[in-house]
Amino acid sequence: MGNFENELKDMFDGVEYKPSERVWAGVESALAQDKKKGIFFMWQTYGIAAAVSLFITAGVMFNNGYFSNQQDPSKGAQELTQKSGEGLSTDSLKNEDGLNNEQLAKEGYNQDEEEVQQPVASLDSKQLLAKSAGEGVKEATLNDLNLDNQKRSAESVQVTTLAQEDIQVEEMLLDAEVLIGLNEAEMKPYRQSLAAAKAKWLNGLGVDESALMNMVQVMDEKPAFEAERMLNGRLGNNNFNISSPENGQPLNVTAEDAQFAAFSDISNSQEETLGSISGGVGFSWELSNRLVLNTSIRYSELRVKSSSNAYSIENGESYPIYLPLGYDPDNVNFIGTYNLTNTMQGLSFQPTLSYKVAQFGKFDVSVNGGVGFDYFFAYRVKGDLNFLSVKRANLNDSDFIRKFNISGISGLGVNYRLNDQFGIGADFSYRYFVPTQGADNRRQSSVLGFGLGVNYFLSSKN
Amino acid sequence: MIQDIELIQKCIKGDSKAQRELYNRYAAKLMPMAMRYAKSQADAEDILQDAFIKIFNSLESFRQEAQFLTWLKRVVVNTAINHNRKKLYQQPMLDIEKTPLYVEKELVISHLHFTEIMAMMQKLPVGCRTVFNLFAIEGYGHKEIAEMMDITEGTSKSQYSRARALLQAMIAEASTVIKSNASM
Repeated sequence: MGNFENELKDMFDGVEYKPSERVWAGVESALAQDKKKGIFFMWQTYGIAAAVSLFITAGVMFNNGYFSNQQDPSKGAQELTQKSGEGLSTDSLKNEDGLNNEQLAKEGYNQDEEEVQQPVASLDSKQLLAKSAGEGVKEATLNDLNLDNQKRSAESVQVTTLAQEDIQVEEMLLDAEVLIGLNEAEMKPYRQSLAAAKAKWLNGLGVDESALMNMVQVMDEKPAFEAERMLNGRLGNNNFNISSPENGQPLNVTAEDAQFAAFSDISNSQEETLGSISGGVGFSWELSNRLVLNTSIRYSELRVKSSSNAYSIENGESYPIYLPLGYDPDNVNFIGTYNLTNTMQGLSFQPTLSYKVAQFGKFDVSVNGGVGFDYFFAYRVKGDLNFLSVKRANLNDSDFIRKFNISGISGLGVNYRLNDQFGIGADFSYRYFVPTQGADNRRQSSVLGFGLGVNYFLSSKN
Repeated sequence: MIQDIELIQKCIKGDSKAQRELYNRYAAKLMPMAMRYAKSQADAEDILQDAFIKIFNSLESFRQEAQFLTWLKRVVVNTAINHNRKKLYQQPMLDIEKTPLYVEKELVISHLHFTEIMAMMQKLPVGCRTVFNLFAIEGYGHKEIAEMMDITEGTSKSQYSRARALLQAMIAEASTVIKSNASM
C-alpha cells in the first residue's frame, strides 16, 4: 500500500462526525417496537383459560349431580326393573350385609317382632303419614318405592313382608312424586322401557291396573318433534398449518425475482404462524332430535411471522419486501434483517351438519362435518421498522395465494343450554383445504380451530 | 464513566438509558465510516441507523475478547455493503482493463480537510467507492473483498485501481484550484 493510502488512512483515523438526531430517533423507535408485545393475540390465552375453566366447572357440577336431578326416578325404576327381572326372588333381595331373608330366618331373625329402625329425620312426609296411620306394611312399600339409600337395609325385610302377607298395594302407594318424577323425565327409550317394567312389577303386586296403564301410555307417547332455530355468535382462533410446497421452495418466486434475489440476496425467512382470530354469526336449524343443520359466516385474520433484509421505495413510501408479493426492483435498499408480520384477512361460509351423540341434561355433545368456502380478500405485510409503511398486496396480481378456497370441515362441539333462550358452546374443528391445480403453493394447508360462542334460540321446545 | 462492558450488559437487558449512552459514545466515531461508503449524508445516516439497530439486537453475540469499537466498525461495514448491493446491481462492476492512472508522484493531501476527501469519495461510483474503502481504509485484501461482495478478485483489483485514479484526479484538481487561488 502506497503513501496515498496511508495518508488517507491517517486522515480518517480518529475523526468524528456527529449524525443528526433523526438517526437516534429511528433507532429508538425500532428498539421500542421490538419491546412491544402484541395484545392482539392475548385473547387466545384468556380464551383458552376461560374454556378450560368452563369445562372444569361443568365437570364438577355434573359430578356433583347438579345436572342429574332427573336421574332419581330412572334410578329407582332401574333398580326395580332389576328386581323384577330376577323374579322378585327373595333370594336375590339381599340387604346391605349381603344376607338374604332365608339366611336371616335361619339365624332366627324375627321379622314380626323386629321393628324397622329408621331415624325420624330420614323419613319423608308420606312415610310419616303412613307411620302415623299405623300402616307398617304401607310404610314398608313406600320405602321400597322411594328407594331411599338410607332405607335399603330394611328393604329385604319389607319385600319379604309383602310376599308373605300378600298385601294389596293401594293407590296412595303409587306415590305421586314417583309418577310425577317419571312423567317429568326426559322421553327417552330406555326410560320408557324402565317405566313399563316398573308398571308390570307394580301390577304384579296388585296395583290398580288402570293407573298403571295410564302411566305406561304417558311414557310411550312420543312427543311431536318441534324444530328449534338458533342464532349463533362465535369467537375463535385457528392455527393455520402451512405445509412446504411440493417443489421445496418456501415461497413462489418468479424467475426474475429469483435472479434478482440471487444477485442482491433479498431473503425472507420461513414463515411461522403467530396465531389468528375469527368471529362470526350463524344460524342453526334442527332437522331432528339429533341432527342439526348449521350455516355460518366468519371473518378471520391470520398472522404469520417472517423476516426480510430489504425494502423498496415506491412513490416516496418505503415498503417491506416480501418476495412473493412483488416489489419495485428499481428501488430496493438493503438493511439489517428485520421482522415482518403478514396478515391475511378472509371471509368464510361454512355449512355443516351436527349430530348429537350424547346428551347430559342441559349438555349436548355433537360431531360436526361440512364444507367451508373461503375468500381471502387482503394480505398485508408490516415491517417492524418505523419508517416502513404497511404493504397491501393485490392478490389479483399474485398467485401467491388463491383468493377462493374450498375446505372440508370436521369437528366436535359441546353446548350447554342456559335457559329457554340462551346457551353457550365450544367447538374444535379441523379444516383441510382441498388440493387444487395451479400455482398455489399452499395446497397442503389445514386449519385447526377452537371457538367459544353464544347461542340464541329463536324458538324453544315447551 | 461507566465501562463499555457494563454498558453493554445494561443494553442487553433493555435499559433504554444505557442504549442512548452507548449510542452517544460511538455514533460520532462511526458516522465518518458510514459517510465514506454512502453517496450522501442522508444515505450515511440510513446506514448508521440500520447499523445501530443491528448492534443493539446482536449485542449478546459480541465476544469480549475483541475490541468493542472494532466489532462496531465491522457491523457498520457489513451494513454499508448490504446497503450498496442494490446500487451495485444497477451499476454492475466490470473488469476495467485500461484504467487511466494519475501519474503525479507528489500528490499532497494534507492541505485538505477530511470532509473534502470524503465528499470526493462520495462522488465515486458505488462499486469503486466500496472496494476502495474496504481495501485502502479498512485493510481487507482483494480476495476477502471478492468474497464479501460476490465478485471476482480481478474485478476488485480493477475497481480499486479505477477508484484510486479517479480520487487522485479529483484531489489534484482541488489542489490546482487551491494553488491558483493562493497565487492570486
